[in-house]
Amino acid sequence: MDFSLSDQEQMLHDTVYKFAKNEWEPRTLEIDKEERFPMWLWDKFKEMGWCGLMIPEEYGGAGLSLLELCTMFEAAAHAGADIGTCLAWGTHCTIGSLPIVFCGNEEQKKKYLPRLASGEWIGCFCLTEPNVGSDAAHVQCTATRKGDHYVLNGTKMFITNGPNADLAVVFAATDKSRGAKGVSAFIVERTFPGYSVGKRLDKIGMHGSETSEIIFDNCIVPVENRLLEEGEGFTKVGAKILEYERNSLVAIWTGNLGYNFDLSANYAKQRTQFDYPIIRFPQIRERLVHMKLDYDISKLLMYRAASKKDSGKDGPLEATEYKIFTGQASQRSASEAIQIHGGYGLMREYKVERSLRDAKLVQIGAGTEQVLTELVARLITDTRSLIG
Amino acid sequence: MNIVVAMKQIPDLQQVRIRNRQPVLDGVPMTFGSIDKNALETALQLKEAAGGNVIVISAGTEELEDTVKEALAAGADEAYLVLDDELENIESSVSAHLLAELIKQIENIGIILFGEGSGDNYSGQVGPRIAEILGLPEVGYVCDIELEDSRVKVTRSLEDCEEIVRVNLPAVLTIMADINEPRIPSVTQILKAGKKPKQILEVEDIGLDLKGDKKIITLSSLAPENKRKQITVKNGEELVDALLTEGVIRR
Ligand SMILES: Cc1cc2nc3c(=O)[nH]c(=O)nc-3n(C[C@H](O)[C@H](O)[C@H](O)COP(=O)(O)OP(=O)(O)OC[C@H]3O[C@@H](n4cnc5c(N)ncnc54)[C@H](O)[C@@H]3O)c2cc1C
Repeated sequence: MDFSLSDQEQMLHDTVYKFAKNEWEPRTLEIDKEERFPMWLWDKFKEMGWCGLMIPEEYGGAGLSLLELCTMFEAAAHAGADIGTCLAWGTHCTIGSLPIVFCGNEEQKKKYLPRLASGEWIGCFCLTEPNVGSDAAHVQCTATRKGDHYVLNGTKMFITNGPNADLAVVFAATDKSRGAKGVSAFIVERTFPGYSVGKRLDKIGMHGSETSEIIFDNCIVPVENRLLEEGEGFTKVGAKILEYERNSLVAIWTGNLGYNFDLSANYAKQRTQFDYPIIRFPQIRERLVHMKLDYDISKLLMYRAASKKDSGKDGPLEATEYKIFTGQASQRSASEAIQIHGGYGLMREYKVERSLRDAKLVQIGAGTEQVLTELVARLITDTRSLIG
Repeated sequence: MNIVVAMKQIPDLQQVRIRNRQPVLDGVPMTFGSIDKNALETALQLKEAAGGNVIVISAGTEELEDTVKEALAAGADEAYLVLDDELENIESSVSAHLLAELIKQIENIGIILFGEGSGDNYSGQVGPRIAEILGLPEVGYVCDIELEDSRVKVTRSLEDCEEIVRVNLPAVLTIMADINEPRIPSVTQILKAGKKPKQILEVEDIGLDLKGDKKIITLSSLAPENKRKQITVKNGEELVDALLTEGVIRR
């Protein structure tokens, strides 16, 4: 068993780390305050080919493996890239594009993937609704077939990239009576009649990513924009993509664990109290050790989950365990990082407070911790919970 | 035509922190000097305009084998390297000899490019020394290059004027930092970089004796002391007064 990255993975890691450290991290305070997706950064991503990471080369992407993708997200956040912008970027590269990569037909791929890969278009993923979160199979948004098109009606909630997206992958019920098996997935362009961006949402953190509602009011979607067959939206498209989402976007938080550790260790070496750098105090040392352990374990779980998926096997247990652990580690790590920084830790300038604000989402998005814990319990005990 | 670019590995200066006035080099990754990256970009643009191969040459410690991937990812086609951990802090004359030997192994050379100075010592000597060793013409302070069959038209940026010269190829050109903006390697280029050819030599292969006295020994490198003072002012007038008192501005 070899835990080291291949030459190629290492080089991707180093390039991203260096770029993030030199050009992105120095501007994270500004990104956090402006609460806008930094388009200047997106322009650089376009130049560097960072917009179509897992899109196959024949459609203009880089054709990366999941492990390579995770390595890039981890490297960026470890170097201090803000979780918000990483989330917006990651959403585009995964749930905003992969449904077409994995479930699109040749025409859909040819039409949409090159634009997503070049970064000309930004993608988003519309599953959650105001009244439908964890119970995502019961979407209330409807799609009614009318000849050669569908008419979509309903509101989607908490949509990452909502305000900036040119293309949305949307889940809507084509047959409500069939529950999960009555949900279909559609590729919807922003310019389709009846599509509009609803309220922009004001969040605790993740400020580099913009979140909004997306509203479908008699939105006309051509039949050829349906992914797979009617009724396969949740069971096939959703199921496949959510596992990738769990596996990949979490890498951003893994990287953040490394960033928290680096900032805290540096600070502890520089800050002197009672005539000694505080790193000499046992309680600080112990906290740092646990922060590093959390980072390392999360990274190993990431390698395990991603390499299993890359080997062609499904890894629901590996991906879910990885997400649960990293979610909990993120809360601890951000809190300890602030603790080590003392009062300065609460000041925006010192940057660790942002980790605390950004940490919570990983326990909520793409399956809450409770829902995922139940999933793991089922997988490892082959039993079901009394309730639910 | 082969376009050769000499690049020197140095610590990533953007990541060097200062503690107690000393630079902290621990954990700072290696990269190439920033003007060397301009030289590489120049080579890539020449290749895009007229074809050919871009070959990076470099001499340095074992880490160089990794660092060079940065240049290969940026678009260089091939690398010729001398690797030896004894090559830390070598002096310009030694670098020039090593690199000249590397260059002799490359056929069909059109242009040999250098940055005007390296990112660490900025001696600016290696380019001219190599031209001397190889008996080639050398043009410095280059801010523009135009290819013309077997010659190049080169613009030199001098203190208060520009000079345009023609030089027969092969020639050594040392270029200025403002000649271009180096590209950031794209993901697809990075994926290709690992497979590009690298010729690796050792110091013995070159037949050079690295004597201890050919090393530069740094006696001290101290960051200038920052005198920080905080003064609170209520309005513009007070600010002007304070700046005058501090001697920052004069009437
Ligand atoms: C910043 C942000 C970005 C997002 N981006 C997107 C996006 O791009 N696209 C998208 O579709 N969605 C997105 N989401 C939505 C996200 O996936 C949902 O918030 C998440 O699935 C949880 O749904 P909910 O918020 O409605 O919580 P609910 O499902 O209402 O849960 C409330 C609480 O009840 C618990 N709970 C629910 N069911 C059970 C159960 N069976 N057993 C035990 N406990 C349970 C939950 O764990 C939670 O603690 C985003 C959310 C946020 C905050």
